Amino acid sequence: MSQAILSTLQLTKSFGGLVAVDNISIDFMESRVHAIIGPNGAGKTTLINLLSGDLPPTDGRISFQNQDLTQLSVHAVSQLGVGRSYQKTNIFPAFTCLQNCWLGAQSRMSTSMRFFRPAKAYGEVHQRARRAIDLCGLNDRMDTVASAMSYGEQRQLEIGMMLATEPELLLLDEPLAGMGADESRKVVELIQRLAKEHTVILIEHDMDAVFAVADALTVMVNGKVLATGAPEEIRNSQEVQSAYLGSGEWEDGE
Amino acid sequence: MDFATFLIQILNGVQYGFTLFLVASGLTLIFGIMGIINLAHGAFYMIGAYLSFWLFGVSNSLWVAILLGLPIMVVFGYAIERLAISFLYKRDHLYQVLLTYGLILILNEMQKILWGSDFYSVPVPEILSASIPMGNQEYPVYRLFVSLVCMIVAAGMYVVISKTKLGMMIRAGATNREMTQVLGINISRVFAVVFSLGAALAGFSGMIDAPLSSVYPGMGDYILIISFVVIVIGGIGSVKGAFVGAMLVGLTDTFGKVLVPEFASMAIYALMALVLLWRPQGLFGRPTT
Amino acid sequence: MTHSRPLLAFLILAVAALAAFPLFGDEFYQELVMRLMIMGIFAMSLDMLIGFTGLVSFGHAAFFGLSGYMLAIVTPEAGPVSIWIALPFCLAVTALAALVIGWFSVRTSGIYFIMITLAFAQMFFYYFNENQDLGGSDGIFIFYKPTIMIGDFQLLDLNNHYTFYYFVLVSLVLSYLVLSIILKAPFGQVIRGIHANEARTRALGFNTQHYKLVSFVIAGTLAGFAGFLEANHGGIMSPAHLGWHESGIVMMIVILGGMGTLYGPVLGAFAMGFLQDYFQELWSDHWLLLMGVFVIAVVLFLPNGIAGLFARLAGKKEDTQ
Repeated sequence: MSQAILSTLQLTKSFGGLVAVDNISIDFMESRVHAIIGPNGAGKTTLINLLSGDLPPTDGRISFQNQDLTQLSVHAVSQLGVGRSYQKTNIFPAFTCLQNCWLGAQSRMSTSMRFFRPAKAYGEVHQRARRAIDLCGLNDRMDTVASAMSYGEQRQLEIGMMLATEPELLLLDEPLAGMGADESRKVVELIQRLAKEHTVILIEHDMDAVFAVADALTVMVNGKVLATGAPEEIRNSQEVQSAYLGSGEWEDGE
Repeated sequence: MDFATFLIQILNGVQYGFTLFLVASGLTLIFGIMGIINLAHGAFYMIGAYLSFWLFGVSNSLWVAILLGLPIMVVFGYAIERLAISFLYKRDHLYQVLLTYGLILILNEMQKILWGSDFYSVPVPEILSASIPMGNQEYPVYRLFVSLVCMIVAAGMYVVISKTKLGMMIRAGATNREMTQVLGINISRVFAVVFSLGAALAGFSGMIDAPLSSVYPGMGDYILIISFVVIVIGGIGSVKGAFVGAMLVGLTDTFGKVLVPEFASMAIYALMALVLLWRPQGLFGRPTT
Repeated sequence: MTHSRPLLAFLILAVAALAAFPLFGDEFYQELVMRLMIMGIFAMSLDMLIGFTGLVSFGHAAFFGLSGYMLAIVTPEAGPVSIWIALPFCLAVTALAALVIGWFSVRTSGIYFIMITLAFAQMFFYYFNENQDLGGSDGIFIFYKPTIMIGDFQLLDLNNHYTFYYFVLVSLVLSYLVLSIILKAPFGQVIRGIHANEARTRALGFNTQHYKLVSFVIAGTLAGFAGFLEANHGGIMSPAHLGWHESGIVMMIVILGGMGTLYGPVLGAFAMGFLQDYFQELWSDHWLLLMGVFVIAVVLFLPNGIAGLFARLAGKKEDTQ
């Protein structure tokens, strides 16, 4: 019986009068892929931002492996083993693939306040970066400048950068955003590979992909959790269908 | 400190605050709406002062000088915007700093070419040259007049910004420049107007201030730095912040000179550091990510 | 930063030329070249902030001038002070100032950072300008260059014109090497990341505030080293050395030379030095106006500086990694 690697307890985020995330309590199970779906504006990205430390919560708590994540800043959350990829590609465009993954790999050293030995000489960092590139399938693009790569490859790099930090928990924010069928398939395969060794929390609109990878689904509407459960349950749920049908999004599989 | 002295310092501090507000508000609006950091803004204050001096020499009346000087400032501001500033809209802050720094060099030297390096003065107009007795001291009526005029201008700004269509565009632009452009509002016209008005405000401040202090080369540099402090304290893009910041700086500087004269010029920086400790984005600024 | 073969050759030639210069250049120009080398160190230190970390500091002259004043303060009226005391003292004070100013400043970003660094530098300016014990607006003299002795044995005599020249040249080369090493090291990778995408660098697990602060202190201290050399060279330190025009000029030098390359700012210092001379000859009373026009022209037409021009001429993208 796997246990919860990350739990939110009555997590709330409001911006002035707008409550974007409303009293959310979810347990995310270890080694599972847990997808969060819902119409636009449901609060999914805000939730990820709360989990990654990009936003401080208004109320509630987040705990990760028995540590309180609630007030931690972005870099502290990363150091604890939570990695995050972004919906809007957030890479270093002028760096090569290897260089893009370098910083993430370097961040796992005890400190980067080192001034004398060249960075290249740190073999462990090099290995970590190479492993991340291998994992995300960009081996033959290692020395290519990121801005010269295709959009799909950049999305793979987006994930690769995160992988270089050797996280245990992966927060993937719409990894398939803007992708065509072929590219989507590659990323789905990547997620399936990653799921073997990591816990994944995934926001996605692409329903095919979601059903291909998810072990559990949470549906969010208007900042609240509408339903949580196994994919089949959710798919067959009357409640979920009407919530989605209302915005016409379920039908499109988007 | 006896009450009369205290009151005089308050009045001086407020008057200085108003001067700073006129200069800083233009600077903060220009940054908030146009995204441009304009180092040459202090030069507009200086140009206003020299215009006062020159036009007074021609007309022998401060009122005529100001009346003629204002449209000149507006046109001048517009020209600078079209000829130099408009190249900076998409550029990095670094290049904005450098270009407007080059502009300062040019404007400062042109001032020297036209009027030389001497210190000049502009006399206070006859009808306002009296002084009001306060305790055992006297307070110049002209200073009160300057405060009053600035207050009216500030009130006018408030009305324009909160009640007119232009004001609405200004507020929209200050909050979200991209969205304003997307909405189809002719952004370059708004920019040109904002910049010209900002220049005119700074110039006007220089014009009415001229009788209170000397007119000298480099006076714009000094007021620019102080305006920066005002904006940092008040929060960039916020006119309300510029007002509060200007008053705080004006009063701190004035009382600083009286209470701790050895450290007087450092007092306002200490104030700035304190505000930054508490709120790095300024009192009314948006949090920087 | 990998150096391509032609670039390496160019740099070595340049250093050789500088080393050979005193043998045939006349004394006036040697003085000028010394000043330009010192400005080169000053500009490299600012490039570390602007070009490599992405922090646009408009108050860098504060550290330059502060260090010079510290040398004046620590040099007794009667005779020279030992460099073993003077240099660490100047650098320590400068580093401390950079730590304090940096701590306040890196909490902010973008435009706030520019204005705050400017404002703090102005604070220092006013302090020295109004402090009559330190000469006020006239400045203060450094009557004696520090001694470099071990026990009774004099290692170097800085009063010797040639010795001082080579002292400055070696300082320039060493500064370049030290910065290169730091920028190649893990620390350098982090600050380049901060420049390229600070948010992502944070998300990857780095406390970017700390790194920015350390970068600020290193840059400030190196500027202090340049200030120490300048105080020795010119023999006088005035509030103008801390003024914002000084900060503006050195920023201009970094851009003119080409930011994000360490050698660019040194080129820029030399170019600026000769340009200033040229403008002063053209219009001695109002050469600043010509300088202002030039500054604007560089921003509009040569934003990548001379180094960028070289790269374009060499037909390849500038390798700044």
